[in-house]
This record gives sequence, structure tokens and C-alpha cells, in this order.
Amino acid sequence: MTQGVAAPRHPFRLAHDVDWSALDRLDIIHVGQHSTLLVSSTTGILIPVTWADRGLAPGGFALDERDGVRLRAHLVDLQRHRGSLDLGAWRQAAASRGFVTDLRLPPLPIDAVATRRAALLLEADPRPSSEPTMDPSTQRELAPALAAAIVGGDPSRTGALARSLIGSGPGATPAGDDVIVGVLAALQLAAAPGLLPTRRTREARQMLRAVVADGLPRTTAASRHQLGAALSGSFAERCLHLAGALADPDAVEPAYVAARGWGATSGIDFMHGLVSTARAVLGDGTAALPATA
Amino acid sequence: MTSTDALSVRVFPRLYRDSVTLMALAAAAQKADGVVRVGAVMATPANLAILTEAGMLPDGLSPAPDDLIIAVRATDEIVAEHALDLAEAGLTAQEAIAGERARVLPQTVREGLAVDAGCTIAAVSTPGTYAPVVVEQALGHGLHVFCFSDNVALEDEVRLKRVAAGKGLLLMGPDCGTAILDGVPLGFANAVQPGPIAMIAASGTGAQEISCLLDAAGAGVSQIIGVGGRDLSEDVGGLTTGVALDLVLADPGTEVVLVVSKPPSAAVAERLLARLASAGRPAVACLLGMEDSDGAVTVRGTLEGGAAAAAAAVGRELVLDIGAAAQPKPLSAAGVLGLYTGGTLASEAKIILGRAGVHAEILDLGDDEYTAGRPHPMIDPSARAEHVLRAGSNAEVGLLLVDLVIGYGAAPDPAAPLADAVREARQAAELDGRTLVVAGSVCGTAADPQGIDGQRAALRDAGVELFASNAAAVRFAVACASQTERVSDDRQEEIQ
Repeated sequence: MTQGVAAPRHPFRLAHDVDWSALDRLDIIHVGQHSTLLVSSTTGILIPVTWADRGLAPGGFALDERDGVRLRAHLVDLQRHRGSLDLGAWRQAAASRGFVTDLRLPPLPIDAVATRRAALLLEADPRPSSEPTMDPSTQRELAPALAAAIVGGDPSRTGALARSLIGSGPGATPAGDDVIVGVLAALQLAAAPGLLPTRRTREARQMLRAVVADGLPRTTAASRHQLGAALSGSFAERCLHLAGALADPDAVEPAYVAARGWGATSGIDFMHGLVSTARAVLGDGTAALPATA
Repeated sequence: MTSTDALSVRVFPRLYRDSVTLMALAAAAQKADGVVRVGAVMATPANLAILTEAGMLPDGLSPAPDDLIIAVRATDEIVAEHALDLAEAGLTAQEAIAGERARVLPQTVREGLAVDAGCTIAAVSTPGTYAPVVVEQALGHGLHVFCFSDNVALEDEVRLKRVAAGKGLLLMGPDCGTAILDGVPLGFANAVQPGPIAMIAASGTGAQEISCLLDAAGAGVSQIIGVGGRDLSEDVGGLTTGVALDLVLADPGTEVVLVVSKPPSAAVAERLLARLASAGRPAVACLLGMEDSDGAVTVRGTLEGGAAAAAAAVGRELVLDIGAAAQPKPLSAAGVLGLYTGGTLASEAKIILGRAGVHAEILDLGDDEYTAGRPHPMIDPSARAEHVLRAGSNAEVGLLLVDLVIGYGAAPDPAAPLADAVREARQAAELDGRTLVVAGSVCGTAADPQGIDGQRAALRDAGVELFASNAAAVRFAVACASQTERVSDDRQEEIQ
């Protein structure tokens, strides 16, 4: 049974990479308090729909909270009866009250003070679990090594480390994947010409991208979606905000506080990947800087 | 690990749960007695390797990356399996008790109706953001709605009331606190006797005060339909009031119609009075602050006046004997302070005092500014007690006006904290060489669960001058204030 879903009544946002062809038959993966994850039964493409303060995700929609609450109630009902969704009506609505948001991360000047400040916050961040299988510390601790391997131009080590991270760790998006997304975000920030100029670093980055692309079948659908978007240079809004905080020391602490609220560990996992790579790009001159400037 | 350790694992194919849920489930399961370790991870190859290395994965399993795997190591198999059962229950929001699944409570309106198809009304009490969705669902299923939720956008109220009116359904609210439908109280309401007067109220405590006065007069109510405080505004245009009138006029048990509200917009008032005039039965419009008038519709500007008119329409007399013998007296200080839990009672006080030219500060302690993060003072009387104590120490306050609302939904003994606070406040004033006069009324009936006689006695013992109605208490305050002014004028003349 496929049921049409009424279009949002209030203005809404959509990611620049929404695939309209995938919206006519969607299955429900998950309905959360402030988001839902849908999947096209024909293409396997994930469609994240968020509301409240969750922010827009690649390939997805961000609704006014009232529409989100309404959608959630409808999906909870539908989920019990195992129905599918047709969001075709949203395409027409997008023409009049949809706002396209580009989720591609532009290059930004990475600020050394901001990076140092972020690193100190991460050092003080408490471990989320004492149970080793539920503790992302193992994955987080690989972030500096991976960053060093990329920036240092070591494709072989880059590949080995990336392979060990994919699909590794706790979470619906495993911690290792979130670390990789953070690394990819930092590399995107540092994409200004001349910042990572050597042939070897280019090879290392290509190795990372290749390993990640090959490794997508070895992780969850939610992570595949996130990693795939990151390979295209697109990131969820909250990732963009956190990455952008590395250009502004005053934005770091609020961004860190917000990141602590992403899932159980995803935000901090991402931040480890981001900050480790930013430090490696800056040549780790941040170590000598004070936390405040 | 010891040889007595047991390992149990369950795989949940293609089950997505957010990370916070997984972490919480694992942490909770690990706390159980006998549980050594719990892992709840997605079954990616990397995680399967981690579990294997940790001795948390038996041979022979080959789940897929989108499967969820929960592994429990415990002192014995029974403990491990039980921990898994609890974790699974947490995943699916069901409880497994002694091998039987507990009944799943309805999660949606549709499921609720599946349990009881005879429902005719939905009571909605959710945060305001969610209320319109639930209300719309309920209306869609043909249910009347009692919407206790507040902080609902006006545009949603208008839209939903149009839907409701189109279907002949009541949408009582938003922010509707009181109703009695076919003898069944909803929200805050009093145990009143049944009778022939139907009340349509855009005011919760207004409905309570009038229904209690009618009860005291021996006149009962057939229905009390709350419509929400904004229903008679220009924007909403009396949509629910219109539906309510249709229903009560078709109710064979209704002989008199009484509408209660703060003054509606002029256009809405005109339509309302015209509709009441053509109702074909006696009608009273109690519109706070309006001038009393008698015509096709009896208009009264106070709750007490509305109750008296409605009682008279069924041949009953409202006798306000409580407090009738109280003697007004000059006050130590000119200030009159009202500390109210009922918003409409506060409004009535302001109107009567204002008409008499008495300057007073009247606080509605049920207003949002006082209840942010706190229960309503009708539910938690302690909040008002703080204000009362401060009044005792305030040399400018000569008279304190209070209300006490009892009945269903109110605190079990609201008089006790108020009486204690009044006693202490009056003592503080006395030590300062002043007399603090406290006047008020109890909004309730003899059948209310709190016991009205005991509530009144507690307040009298604390020194509260009690009156039969809020309006009567306020008139006493006016009389005291007038005496105070006269004394002050006399003294001025003497000096001169």
C-alpha cells in the first residue's frame, strides 16, 4: 500500500542534491522525535527529513516544526500498518514554498587559535562508555594518525587506517565513519590552492576517497548516505556549522556544545576527525598556542 | 572470563535505532545483577571483528551491516537471556513479563478508537506544538475535542475550528480548562447539581464561579461547554460558541442558555446577542465589564450578576448570605492587592474596583509569567503563599483579596497553605503596627471533594473575611477603601 503524503503547509528547506525521482515510493526506516529516515524502495537512496533544530541533511528536507510533528504522527500510524509513502506532492510545493540550500562545504581559512581551542575541548571530553565495544575512543584515537598519513603523503598508511575505521564502532552511524566524515570535511575546508600542494598528499587523499567508496558496502545505510555525500563535498548543516567554527575562535565552544548533542557520540566523533585533520594541515603549530587569544 | 560465564546474542535484522537509544539500552542492561558486559552495535564487518576479539560473538553468525546485534555476557544463561529480553523490550517499547507480552497502550487516535469505538470526545493535553496535529486527527475521526493545551497558534485555532464547525463538532479550547458534558466533568470543574441551565464559557474560572453560585441557588447545569478564551475574539469569531449553541438549543434538558466571557469584539457581540435573542428560550449573556441591561437577552457585567440572572430565569434566587454581616473598616494603608489563582475572578475584581475608582494591583497568578516552569497555583498553592507573605511585610498594602478554587483538578487542600500564609502575613503586619485585612471567597460546592466547610473554616481561623462570591468580596474591598479615603479626607480637613 502506497500512501501519498500531503505537502508541507509551511515554508521548508531542501538540500541541493534532493533526488526527486526517488520520492514516489519510500519505505520508512526510522521515525524519531525530530527526524525520519526514509529509503527509496526502487533506488535505495536515503531521504532524511528533519524538523525542529536538527538541521538539513544531504539529499533531504528540513520542515517547519509544525509540519514535522504532523508528518511524524502520520508516519507512526503508517509504520504500524507497513505502508509506503509517496512524497510526489512535495515537488509542486517546493516550487512555491521550498528553499534550496546548498550543503557543499566551501574552502575556509582554518584559524589556528580556533583549532587549538577545539583540540583542548576534545581532550577534556569525557569517555561515553566504559564498555570497550560501546566506546568510540579506539576510533577517535586513530584520527590523528589518519590525518598525519594524508597530510604527510602516505597513501598506503592512509588506506590501511581508513579501512580499519569504516563501519567500526558504536552508533547507527558507526564512530569510525563519523571520524572519516570529519576528516573529509577538514580536507574540504583546506581545499584552497596551495594548502595541500604535494603530489603525495593528493595521492593520499585519492586513496582515502577510493577506500571509502569501496568500503561503503561494509557499513550501515545511514553511514553510506553520509559518507557518499561527504565524498561529493556535501555535509549535514550541523557539520557545516561545526566545520565553519574552525574559522572563528569564538564559535568553537558553542559548536562543541552543540556537537555533544548529536546522537550518542557522532558529533564528537566527527569533531575528532575534523580537528585532527585541521591540526595536521596547519602543521600542528597549534600545540604552542594558548587556548584563548 | 570464567568458564561459568554465559554469552547470549540476538540479531535484529535491518533494525534502525538511534545511537542514544542503543547506548542507553546497553548501559541499562549492564546494570542488571549478574550481567558482565553488553554490546549493542550495528553488525558491520568491523564491529563483528571487535565483538569477536572481545569474546562477545559466537561462531556461526553472519548478520548484515544494517542488522543490529546485541551481545550479553553474564554469570549464567538465564541472566543473559533476561538481559536480552529487557533490551529487546526497550527496542520495541513493549514489556515481556513472564513470557507474556503486556497490552500495548494505544499510541495514536486511531488506535484508541480501535480499543473503544464508542468514544465521542478526545481530551488533548500535550505541549502546544503538538496539539494541532492531535486535534486534527481527532476531528478527522469525528470526535469532539476538549483541548486543555495552551500555546497553540491562533491560525491553527481558527483553521481547526472551521474544520470542527463544518462537521458540527466542538473544539473546546485551546487553553480550555473547564467543561461538564452530560454530567461528566473535564479539567477543573465542580461537583454541581444537574439542572436546566446550559453554560457556554470562554472562561474557566468564570464557569466555575457561576456554576457554584447556581448550585448554591438550587439551580443546576445541564452542560458547561468551554470554548477557549479566544473564541469570541474577532479572529475566531465565535466558531465554537456557534456549534455549542446549536447543541444546547437542541438539548431537551436545557431551558436557559448562559454565555460567559470577557467582552467579545463588538461585531462578535452583536452576532452573539442576536443569536441568543432568537434562541427561543431565556438567555443570559455574562460579558465581564459590560453594562447590565435587560432586553431580549439579559446582559450582566459580573459573574455574580450572570448567576443571579440565570437562577432567576428558572425561578431561583441567589442569596449571598456568607459575609453579609461583615462591616467594612478603614484600612491601615490605602493599597489594595489581589492575589488570584483564577484569571476571570481577577478580571472581575479589576472591573469592580475600577468602576469604583479604587486603585488596586490585581495579579492573576495563573498567568504565564508566573507559571513558567511551575504548576498552576490551583494545583500547587505554595506559589501564592510567597506573594501573601510579602504582602504582610509591605506597609503600603492595607487589604488583600484572594480566591480559593476547589473541585476536581484542584489541590486536595488548597486552604491550608493559604491560611498559614495569611496568618503569618497578618502577624508581620501587626508587629509593624498595621492591620492587614484579608477578604476572599471560596469557589466550590458542598459536594466538592476538598470539603468546602473545612476549607472555609481554615480561612476564617486565619482571619480571612469570607464572602459568598468573588464580587461580594471585592465590593467589601471597595467599601473599605472608601472608608479609608473618607478618614484620610477628614484628617486633611482637620489639619487645614
